Amino acid sequence: MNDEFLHHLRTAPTAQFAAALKARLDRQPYRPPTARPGSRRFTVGIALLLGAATFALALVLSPELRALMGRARISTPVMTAEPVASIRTHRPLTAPPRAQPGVPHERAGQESLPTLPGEVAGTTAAEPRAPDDSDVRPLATPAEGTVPVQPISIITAHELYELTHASAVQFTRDGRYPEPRLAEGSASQALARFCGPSASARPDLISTARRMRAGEYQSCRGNGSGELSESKMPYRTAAGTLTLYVYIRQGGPEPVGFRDFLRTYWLALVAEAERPTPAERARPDLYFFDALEPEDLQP
Amino acid sequence: MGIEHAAPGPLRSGDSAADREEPDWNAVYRDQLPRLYNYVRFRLGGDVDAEDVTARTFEKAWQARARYRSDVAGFSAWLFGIARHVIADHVRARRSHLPLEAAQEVALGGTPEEEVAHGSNLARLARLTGNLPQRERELIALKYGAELNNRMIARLTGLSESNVGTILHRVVQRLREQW
Repeated sequence: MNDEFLHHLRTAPTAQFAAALKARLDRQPYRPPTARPGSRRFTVGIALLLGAATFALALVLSPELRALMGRARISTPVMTAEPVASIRTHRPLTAPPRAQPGVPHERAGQESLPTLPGEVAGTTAAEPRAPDDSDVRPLATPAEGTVPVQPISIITAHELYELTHASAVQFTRDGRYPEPRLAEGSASQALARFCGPSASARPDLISTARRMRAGEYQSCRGNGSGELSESKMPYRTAAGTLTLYVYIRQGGPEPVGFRDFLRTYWLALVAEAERPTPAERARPDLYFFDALEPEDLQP
Repeated sequence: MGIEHAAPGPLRSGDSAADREEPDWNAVYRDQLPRLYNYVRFRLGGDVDAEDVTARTFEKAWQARARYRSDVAGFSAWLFGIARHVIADHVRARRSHLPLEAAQEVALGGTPEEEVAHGSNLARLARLTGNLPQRERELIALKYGAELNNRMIARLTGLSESNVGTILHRVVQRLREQW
């Protein structure tokens, strides 16, 4: 292919421009990414310690607060120790809650969640109940017949990497859940993995910068991915406003804490959405998932 | 953060190792600047504003370069991804100030002497590619402006590598006939 005429159209930027731009870039701070989560964790740890100390001091000094605490019926979530080897993470974590009838993953007092596909309203909300003997377990005793906990697997668009990373850090902050496996890729890569033939290799959630195409949807269904849910929203980045699509599967097994992560992720997304109104910020369910209608997809 | 390393192809894994060797960012800059600058020229159809758009793109991407210290190719993809948005914003803003016909006149230049000048050849290309679909114009700019290989172009555009090659071959043939 004779394409020399096109190559000859190139020209080098002027040395003056290159030097001036480099000087401007050199003035930008350079922060290695690994330093941030650690320092953030340290800050949060200090804040939690200070909060706990303040609360303990108030309990000691205030008879009214002691009386109030005595009247309150607080359900205690059960924490059992999982073998650390069953969780594929890079740092030790507090064990996630073991699923037991009547013991929700949600903490008491949290706001109600938007309803997800396949979710029966109220099943994830905390039901206050009095603690009983079955709740008392030594933390160091490994639970019998423990199933290895699979972390949430995510492939995110390049534009959303930092926000997804931050959401995952926040999600694992209290140590209840294993760290999500996070990878970054193009829409085609993410959708190919999401719809791939190997169920174990499929991510639980993907975010893409373009919508799924009809052929990709057919591939998903052909490989037994089941029904899919889609959500889209305008997203503001430094480079402009994009329409982002987030896909999850309906039904089927979910990794531990998946809905908690979705809530965290969605609140972060909504906070960055294009000009959300105060009402939209207060109601992230406005952006929540709809069942994917294959008739609407482009070929 | 747990990082998945099993992803095939160019899926980028992140920041798991703190002790990775730092890339030579000066070399990355020297390599990427002419690519980005010419990509912008090809997309804008001339030298007007090319430096401004190039600078804005670099400044946005440079802030996040630490994420790509283990994957410089990923940084390149990130850079051109940002460039596409910056150019789109720039064109949109330019349209709001100037009618399209006026912009074409600016890009086409005037005298015959200017026509043979280097910059006018680019304007001539812009005129020829003006009727092509957006995707073809993008591929031409990535291939001959940024001098990216077909694999990287496929990664950026979401097309398959063979599809990129086929489209480019067809478009270049057509352009050569009209040149």
